[in-house]
Amino acid sequence: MNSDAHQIISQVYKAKKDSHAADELIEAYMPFIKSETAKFLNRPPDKSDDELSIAMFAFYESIRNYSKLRGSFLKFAALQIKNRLIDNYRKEKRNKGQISLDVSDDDKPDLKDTIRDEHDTYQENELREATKQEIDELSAQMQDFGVSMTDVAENSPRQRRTLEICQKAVQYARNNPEILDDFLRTKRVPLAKLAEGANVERKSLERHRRYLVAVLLICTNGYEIMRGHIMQVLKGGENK
Amino acid sequence: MKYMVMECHEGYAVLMDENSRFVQAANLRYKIGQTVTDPVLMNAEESNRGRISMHISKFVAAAACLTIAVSAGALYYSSNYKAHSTVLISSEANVRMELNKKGKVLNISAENADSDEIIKNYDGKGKDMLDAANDIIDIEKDKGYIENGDTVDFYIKAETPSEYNSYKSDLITGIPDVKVKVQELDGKKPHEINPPEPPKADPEKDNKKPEPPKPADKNTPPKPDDKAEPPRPADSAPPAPASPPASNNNAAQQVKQPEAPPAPPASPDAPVPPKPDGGAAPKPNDKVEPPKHVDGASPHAPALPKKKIQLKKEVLGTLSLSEINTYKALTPLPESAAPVAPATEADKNTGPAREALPEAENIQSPPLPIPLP
Repeated sequence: MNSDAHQIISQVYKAKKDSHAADELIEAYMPFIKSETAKFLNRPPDKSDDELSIAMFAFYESIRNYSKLRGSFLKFAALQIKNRLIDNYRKEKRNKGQISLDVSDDDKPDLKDTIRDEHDTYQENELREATKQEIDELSAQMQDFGVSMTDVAENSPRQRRTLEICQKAVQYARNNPEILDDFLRTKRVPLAKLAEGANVERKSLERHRRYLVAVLLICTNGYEIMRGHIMQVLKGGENK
Repeated sequence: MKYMVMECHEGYAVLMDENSRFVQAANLRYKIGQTVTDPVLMNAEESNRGRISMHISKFVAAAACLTIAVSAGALYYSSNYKAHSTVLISSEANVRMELNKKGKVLNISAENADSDEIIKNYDGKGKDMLDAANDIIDIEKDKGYIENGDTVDFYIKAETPSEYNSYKSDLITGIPDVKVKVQELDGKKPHEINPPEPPKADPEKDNKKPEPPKPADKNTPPKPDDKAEPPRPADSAPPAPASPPASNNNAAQQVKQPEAPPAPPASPDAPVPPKPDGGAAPKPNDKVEPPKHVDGASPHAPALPKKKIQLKKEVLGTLSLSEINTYKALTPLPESAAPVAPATEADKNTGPAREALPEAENIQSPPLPIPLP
């Protein structure tokens, strides 16, 4: 019993650093996640249920936030899952008066089928495929820098002021293509030049080096769709 | 806000928002490259919040501990080291005891030289009030200041009436050999309680012209008659001061009266009663010149017969301190003065002055807390 507890704690601590280990741990504990979801739903969850996805996400959050001081991991994870599901239930409750397009009776067709679809699904799929290709390429390029998307997400600035500092540096790099060339050639973020050119503190940039790698790569040629997604910011001004 | 799905995992997805922020969110069957609008984002500040709340909770715990410690210390100090009550033992020697909330002696101080002698070799700190009081009384007995059966005054100053009553009953029941008289100490030491000054007839005040009646309300102007004829001092007849011999202390005179010589007939040396116009009225600051004897000798003791001196001593022994002080304040007494001023021509206008005399006699001095030596 004690050794099991130690084992799971070591697995959790390993999963904190390694996203693949986190995926493996989630997969290993899927029965537990499903049982916790079933307790909330009062029925076995289906794979298509949002609640199950949210429960898995809550389990992942538990891995990230767990420490030995918090006691048993599974109890902690169960509480996290329950809280997340309750939060989601409350959020969905606000939209209770609305009718879902996906819900249909047996006799009648789906509601969404009766509405004229102005979206070009084919074009959307094509765009998504092109975006996927860009993202895959970006992921591969980031591997050369030793950075993963999860790392970037964890290293991304959260405070508005820090984000603005990083955006200033990126803007300066965009206006000076030689800095981007140096960045691609040397595979190192030219923090000194960026800090000096953008007139920001180097320390702030250093803290978000992995994030800067991703954004600077997006600013190089070849990532038009992603650049378009964040173009408003790169042009200046943050979306509220 | 639109989010682009950058990476999908088993339990989560990495999204990029339009501000180029990368976030983790629940993977609601997302596909890479998809644009979503309402993801379930990771509570990004969870870890930080945990850390912050941990720090805050530590700080709060430390502050709470400090507060508890300080308040406990203050409570302990208040109940043990802060003087809450005072008991003053007053006999020949005045000894002041300061007590804490529990009734233990914090400090014993001497109020005079005799009490210095008593507490010189006595340390009653930490003792119960009653024990310390008994000890002090024993020492006083040993030193000869008091004897069994004597009355010892205790003055208590307590914060609450219940404390006062408790100390009082303790003292009354707990001190066997002497008579205990307990009084409240109103923040004054007994030796500081001066006897009240004798009621002095203030001739100036008495002869002061009465102010014309002020209009009670501005809307009601005074009558023209009031303005035209302000009350005259003579008409109003303010109580004229009694002549110094007449206003002298009554009690002494009352006792003296049986053996005092009869009042001499009106003579030119006799004090002249004040005139009603106030100009000749004796002021309090004015030295009252005692009436001279005919032979010009001093009216003081050397000139008095021995019998009178003895009588005076006897009378003084029976009088209270306030009466004595009153008596002394008004000395030197003209021995030749009669208890009642002889009627003169001016007395016709000083009728109220005579009437004021019984009032002055009726003024009673408050009782003194200290027994006369």
